[in-house]
Amino acid sequence: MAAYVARRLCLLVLTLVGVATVVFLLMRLLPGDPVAVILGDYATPEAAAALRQRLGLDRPLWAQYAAYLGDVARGDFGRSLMTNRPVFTDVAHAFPYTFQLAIASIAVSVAIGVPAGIVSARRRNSKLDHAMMLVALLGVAGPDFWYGIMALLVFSARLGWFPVLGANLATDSLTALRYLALPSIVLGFSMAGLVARMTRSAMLDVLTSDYIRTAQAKGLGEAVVVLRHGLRNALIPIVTVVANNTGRLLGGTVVIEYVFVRPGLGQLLVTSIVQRDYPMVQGITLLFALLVVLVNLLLDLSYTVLDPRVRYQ
Amino acid sequence: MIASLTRFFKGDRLAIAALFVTAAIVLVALLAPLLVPYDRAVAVDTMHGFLPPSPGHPFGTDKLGHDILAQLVWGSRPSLAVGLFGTGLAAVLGTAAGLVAGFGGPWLDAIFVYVIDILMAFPLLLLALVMVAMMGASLANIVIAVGVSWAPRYARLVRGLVLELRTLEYVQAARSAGASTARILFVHVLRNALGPILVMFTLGVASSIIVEASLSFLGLGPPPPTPTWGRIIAAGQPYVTAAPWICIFPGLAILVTVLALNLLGDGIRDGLDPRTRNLGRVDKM
Repeated sequence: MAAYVARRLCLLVLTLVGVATVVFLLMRLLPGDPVAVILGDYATPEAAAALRQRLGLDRPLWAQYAAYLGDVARGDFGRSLMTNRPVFTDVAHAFPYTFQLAIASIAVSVAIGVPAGIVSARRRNSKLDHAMMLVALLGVAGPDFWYGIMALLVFSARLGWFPVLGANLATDSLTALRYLALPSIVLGFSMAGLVARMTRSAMLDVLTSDYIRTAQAKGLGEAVVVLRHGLRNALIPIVTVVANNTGRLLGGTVVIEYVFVRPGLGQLLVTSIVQRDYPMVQGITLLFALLVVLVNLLLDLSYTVLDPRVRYQ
Repeated sequence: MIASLTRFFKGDRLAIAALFVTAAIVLVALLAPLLVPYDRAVAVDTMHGFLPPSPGHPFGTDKLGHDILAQLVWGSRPSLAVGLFGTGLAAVLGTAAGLVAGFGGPWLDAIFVYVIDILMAFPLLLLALVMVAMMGASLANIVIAVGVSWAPRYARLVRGLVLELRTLEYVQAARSAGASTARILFVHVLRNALGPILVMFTLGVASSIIVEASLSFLGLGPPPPTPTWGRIIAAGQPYVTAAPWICIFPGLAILVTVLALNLLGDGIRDGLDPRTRNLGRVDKM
């Protein structure tokens, strides 16, 4: 196991170098001169030359790449072109808003999706099953930003249950929680569809197996059979679907933060794109990819806990 | 025709309905100039802004007096264009890469797996967003961005299918009968991989439509004046309490389109799967 973790960590370094390379290529090799794009109408030759030098674009590509990898390895992501603050500072400030939203959304999706999937599997092919799977599909099919706007319209504007916008105004954790609730319910609902569909199919697989019949034959209660024998063994696919959708979840936080004016990474990313804040876009893109890679590593390691039969060599 | 459709979808009425809804949306997009003149869809008439739904404007009007229904009809075009061409590009790129990896020997395959793992680390929407931001927001660039973002998912699927199919007896028989690698690739492997590729294509179109709508909503969609579903919602968001219809109807258009494509994809998967032969309502999973 220790050897396996060590090997995975070596691979992780290799993956991170690859991720950083893709971000570098994305930012440098796409058509268009970044300096002209950043300066826009203010592109005098002097200003362009100065900015080119500041961004290091006057050096050959391989030198830029080497310098960039070195900077990233030391945790230096450059400075924002708008505020001149280190990218790291602004990203670190925005990160908790996105992290809280992501964790709360996963909690909502599991809280809705797992029970719905279990009930659907138990009442397989009933009207309730079909209705719930249709709702699950609705969650997956609707655009997150539209659900966000509709939720704001109904629950905040009309019913007044939740504050409308501006999570940055919250000063204490209870108010922060009130600002967090609606966006995470919206994002959680759209993820719940995936969780419910996976839970249902995993439970269907498990509930038809012999040891479930044995457990029932022993006279164990319904709840014990379904939850302790059934759900315990259906956990791997459920955890996998949640982890594999980290990318989707992070993409969702981008649009949801934009709708709810929540000052997280997604909001920062969209603002930076509009303002052509090149180093900021680069830093946020790197962080998102890093998060996905880390979640995948944790997922593989969690299998040993979820299923004692899984042993890594 | 209905009978053979029913047979293919094994009596799954939801999938058949989804097929008809999808066909209707494609027809609307193709026939948009015949249904609503372009001038009417983009005509500015501020005297008649914010009109609630009425017989004259079934889905109401927006701030500038655009008829929402007319805008939705024209907005179906960029959505479907990005969905079909973006996913088509992804299918071509991904299938080619997957075939090469599956047949190119262990070294090529190892490099391929490494690159795909890295590309898959980028959230789909994020990759498309950054690419469009760097290249400029035009319909062609969005198609490219969606295509490149989706391609790794295809490549992984096709590689897996190739590795599975190439060990099957009929492929080995063809090889020992002297068939060339190209013939084995295209005749024996690709043809048998078409089913899963088609299913992924349907789901890919659905996902690409959401990506296009999200880009448009964030202000990085195809440029105005051509209406897009996402941009109509973005324009209506500030007035959503006073004039909710501006946001509601384009959202429903996206929802219905994506839902139909998802149900169609599920239906095709079950239809192609010989293990779900039972007639009547087919279990969806």
